[in-house]
Amino acid sequence: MIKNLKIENFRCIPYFELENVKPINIFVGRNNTGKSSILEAVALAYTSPTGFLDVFGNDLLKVFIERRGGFDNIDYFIRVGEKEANIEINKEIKLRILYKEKDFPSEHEKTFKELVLKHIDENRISLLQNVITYWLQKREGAEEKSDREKIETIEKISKSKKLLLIAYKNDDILSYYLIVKKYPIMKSNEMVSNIIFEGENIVLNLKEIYNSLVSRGEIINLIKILKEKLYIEDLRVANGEIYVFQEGVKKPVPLSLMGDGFLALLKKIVINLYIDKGIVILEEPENHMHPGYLEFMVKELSESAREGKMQLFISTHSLELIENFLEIDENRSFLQIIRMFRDGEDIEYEIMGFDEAKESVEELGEDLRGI
Amino acid sequence: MIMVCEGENDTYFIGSILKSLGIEYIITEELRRLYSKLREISRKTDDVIIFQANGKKNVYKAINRIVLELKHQKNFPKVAVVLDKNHGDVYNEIFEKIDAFAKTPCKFHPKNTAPKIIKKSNRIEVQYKKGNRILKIYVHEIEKSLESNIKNFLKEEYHEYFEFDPHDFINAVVNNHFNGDKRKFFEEVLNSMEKEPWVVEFKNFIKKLLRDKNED
Repeated sequence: MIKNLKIENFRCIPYFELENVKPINIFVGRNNTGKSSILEAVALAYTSPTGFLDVFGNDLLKVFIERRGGFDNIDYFIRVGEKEANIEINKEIKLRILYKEKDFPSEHEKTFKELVLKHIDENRISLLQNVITYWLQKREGAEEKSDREKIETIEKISKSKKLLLIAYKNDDILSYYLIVKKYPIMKSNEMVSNIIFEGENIVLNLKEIYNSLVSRGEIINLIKILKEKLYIEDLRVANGEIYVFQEGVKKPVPLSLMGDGFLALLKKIVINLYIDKGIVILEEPENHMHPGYLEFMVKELSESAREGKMQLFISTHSLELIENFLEIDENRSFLQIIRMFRDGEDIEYEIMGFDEAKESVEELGEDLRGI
Repeated sequence: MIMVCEGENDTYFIGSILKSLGIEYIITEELRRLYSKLREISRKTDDVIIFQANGKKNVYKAINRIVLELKHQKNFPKVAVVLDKNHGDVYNEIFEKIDAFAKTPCKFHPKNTAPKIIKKSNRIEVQYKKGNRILKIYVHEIEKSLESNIKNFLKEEYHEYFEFDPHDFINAVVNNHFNGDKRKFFEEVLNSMEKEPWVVEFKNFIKKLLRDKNED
């Protein structure tokens, strides 16, 4: 779990520090105040030792690049005018992000060149880097590359714009990554981390998760919750589609035809069942949800966070969501609200504990989302 | 302009003064409505919003919240605080509360972004570091208290409630002689008390704030 977090020069954030990260951390504020950047920073730093993969194998780094305009905007991972970004969790794991127009950073030149060579040798990249050559090489098997090709590839990459990420544990390098246009992300290692990020551009494949819950023997718990709370009698897979059996409805309905609110809630229920002592990051989880669903979701997530099943990082624009969290007195020592503001180029923030936030809402009728 | 006051009676009394001056105003007991109104008037700061805090403690809390919120606005109105003098040294107490709030580590992050709180002769200035923006908080102390002044003025006319404390006295008069219409009561009270020194002083305080829209 994350106890403290420090972010420097990541995207629009000049400096952000949470010395006491709680089991439930809710980020509020106007648009463009850095909420999503903080959530991304948490996810990147947490998964940086092992290749940025979430618990389902989604490449979060790739998603974050794509949803911010693709490769052409990779320099914006670092705050404009700064040389590098740093994200630190638990004063132990540190992710350093560097952007270079050309060359490699001198202190890590050898390391990154070796990373490129490793990827050439594994046939993941080549001098004629494009999809066709990549797949042809894969199909034809690993060819021994000529030294000349290797040198030319390294030179080509050296001259290209690139983002370099280095994960440290204390001062030791754990992993390193290289992002160059038209090349796959080069990673020194890759395995899943105990994290789920639900937000824009991240597809949670419910079918895969359903199958996984079946194999873990937890599908019965999912059905139980659905029966009790949502009047769903059963979920079954047929012809590659999940069918929903609703109470009082004769014909099962394909999951894809169910309402957005139902799907949104189902995802949260599934995440809640799936994660175990991991990090859950939810971007605007209120989207599409009826207040009744929202209340139910908040109760479930709060309970899991309090029990240590997950640590929650949420961004929201919903007053109702915030108030639902504050209505649960058991959340008292488990929750904090981080109110984000933009002051010109600077990002500022206020940290509110449960009691202060609740008092402000109840006694002063404050809208914690601000003006 | 935002006027923060303690209770319902203050709200009605201030409202009566504004009405007599032909000034439009809204009353709210919720900061969320105040924020929403401020979103609307971000380019036009001559509207008056009366915030009824319901208690002295909440007046201080509300001012702190307003100080924090307005830090992140390009334009903001003046703030006036109206409190009864029988609470003690209200001006210094407000200053200390805001100053302590500004120095609370978790309120203004990063560390060097907290505003500076300065005492000026008739106001407290919140100097936000960015853009040299200054929020002016004007403090008005009503001699004794609004309710006791009114009771004192009306005690002969409504001598049957003489034993009541000032709040209950006003409630009894409103309920038994004004059909529970507090607004009407305060409008009439204002008319009949307009020459009372504390009323003149209070009215002048509001007039001055309204007149000096941009500077004083």
